[in-house]
Amino acid sequence: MTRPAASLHLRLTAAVVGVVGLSLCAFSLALHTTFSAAIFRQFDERLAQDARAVANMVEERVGEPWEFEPGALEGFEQKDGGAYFEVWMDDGVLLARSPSLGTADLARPRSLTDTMIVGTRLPNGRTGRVFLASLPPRQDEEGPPAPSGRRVTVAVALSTAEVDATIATLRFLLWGSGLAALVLAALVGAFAIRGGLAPVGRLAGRIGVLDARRLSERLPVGDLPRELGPVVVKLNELLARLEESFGRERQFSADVSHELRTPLAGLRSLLEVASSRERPAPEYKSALGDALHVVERMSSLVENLLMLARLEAHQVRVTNEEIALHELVEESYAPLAAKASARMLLVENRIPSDTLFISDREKLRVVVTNLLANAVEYTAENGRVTVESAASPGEVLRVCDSGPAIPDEALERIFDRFFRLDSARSGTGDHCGVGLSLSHSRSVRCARPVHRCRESPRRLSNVQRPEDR
Amino acid sequence: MRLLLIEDYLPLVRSLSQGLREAGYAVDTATDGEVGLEHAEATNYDAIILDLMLPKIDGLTVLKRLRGDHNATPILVLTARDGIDDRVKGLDLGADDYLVKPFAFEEFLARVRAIIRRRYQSSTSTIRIGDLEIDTTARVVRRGGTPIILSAREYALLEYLAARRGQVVSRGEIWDHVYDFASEPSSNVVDVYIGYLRRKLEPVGGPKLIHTRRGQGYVFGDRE
Repeated sequence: MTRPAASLHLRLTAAVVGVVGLSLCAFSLALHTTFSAAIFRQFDERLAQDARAVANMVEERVGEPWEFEPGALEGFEQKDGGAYFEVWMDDGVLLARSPSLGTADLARPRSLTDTMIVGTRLPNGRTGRVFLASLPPRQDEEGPPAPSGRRVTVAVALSTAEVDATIATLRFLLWGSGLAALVLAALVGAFAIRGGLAPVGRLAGRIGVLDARRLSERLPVGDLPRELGPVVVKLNELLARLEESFGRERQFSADVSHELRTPLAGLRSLLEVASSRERPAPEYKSALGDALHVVERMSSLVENLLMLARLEAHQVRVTNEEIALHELVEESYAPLAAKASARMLLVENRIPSDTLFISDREKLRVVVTNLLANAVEYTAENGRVTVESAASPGEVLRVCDSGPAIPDEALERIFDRFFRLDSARSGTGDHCGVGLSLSHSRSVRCARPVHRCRESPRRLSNVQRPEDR
Repeated sequence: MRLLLIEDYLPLVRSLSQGLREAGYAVDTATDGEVGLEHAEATNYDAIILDLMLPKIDGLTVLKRLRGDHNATPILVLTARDGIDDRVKGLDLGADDYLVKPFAFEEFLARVRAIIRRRYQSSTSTIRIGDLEIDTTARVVRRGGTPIILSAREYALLEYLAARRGQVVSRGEIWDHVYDFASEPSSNVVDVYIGYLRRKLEPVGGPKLIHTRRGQGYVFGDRE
């Protein structure tokens, strides 16, 4: 078993043992107390009876010492037999004593207000209980016509040996069975708990098998106990997210290699072919010009990628200034004008010339350029692109074009790096799909993330204001 | 020999096709998979150079379709993508060879030559007929050691005839394999060039190498 399962096992077993132990203790205690009390009550009853019997053997005599008539008193004869009694007059004069006492005495209290029953050491050395009470003598026709109402103090002591033994046996039994039950509970509990926790171990085993290469696998939910179900469901969701994320990373890596290698290949072939033989100067010139174009494309791609990397590592600072939006849009559009007219697009800048916005000029320009470039590239020919002011609070500007619309599934992904709607590449234009992603990243810093909304047949891109701190 | 280059990155298209033409090939180009497939299905090329990342129909699909139609044209696949998977997929789908961008142009040329050679089933790059020696790598023709100067078009014609030696080659086939779309079609240009070649290769009184089969075409070889 793995570590966590063992400690859970231990905790559960300890809990079971603890609960069983506590219950057993409580039960034993209660049983013991109740039983002892009952048994001693019985014993004390017997003591009281004997005491009354002894008191009954006292006869009141008028003018003479009272007489003690021992009747049938069994058990008190044997010396050190464990049963003793003594009787005194209320003034302390000894009236009678049991034969078993011999010459010893039972303790007599100075004053006796009530019945007393106490544990004591008997004259024979054993433990016992003594009953002390002030009782009336025998009252019958042989007595004086007018009883004085005087009483005698009676002490009866009996050995508690039997009772003690019984209680001791009970205690032994309780201990014994209690411990046995505890051990049994511990063993059975441990066993049952281990069985109960086995699914956790198995699950851990299955999870351990997963790795980056097998992210398409999912953990089965069917044969799991109810408590583990939600855990596995969440794990499967996590796996799905990881799979998607890894997939995107792989895609990105493949795309980067393509995007960087293609212009390099073009450059290389261009230069190799140009230099493969003697050529007239204009041919060389043209080849060098082509080479330069390719270098420019690579350059901007590399810059974009670096910026993306830096943004994602939060290494870029934002410096704010007041920006005239209308002018910024014009600036951003300028390099795209040629392409737009080649595609016969009507591009309008409808932002009023007095609209100001505070942001990082450079980065905002890149965001806007990227949005415009995308619009110019992908709007169907003879269409229109309009740049408008914010239409709702939180927006900075909107770039709307006449379509075609972006399908819903793609909406989420258009800001992924290198994603393009045509999965095979929609053109060899100067785009490579990094633009929108860059817009997204930069926007996070200088404005809230850009999102595209689809209102057929028009597409919109909004640049939103940054969140207020 | 006539080649089809299917590649969408324009600088590469321009430089590769220029280099190939200067090396004596007739080259047709296509910048997306759809047009490329059309050309490949319509014309019998000696080799196709196919980029994998193409718009409209991607390279692997083009490859699959061509092989699915039992088109046995040798195909050299070009790609910039990482990964063994792509290479394996390309080769398994029927490509004859694979080149990762960026590449040296010389290597590219050599691989093109190699797949064409395989198609015509010659194992060496030098063809010898009698005392005529054609070095297809250096694109040099010698007779008894003495080099014979041929124009690019003449060489291309000779190379094709030599590759098909012993077989009857029709004018139409010659047209298809030596000229590209950019050439002006002309009904007797083949005959004219055969004439040029004969004059250079067959000295007066010497053995004939190019034989006419009336109504069918020509045969190249040292036997009738």
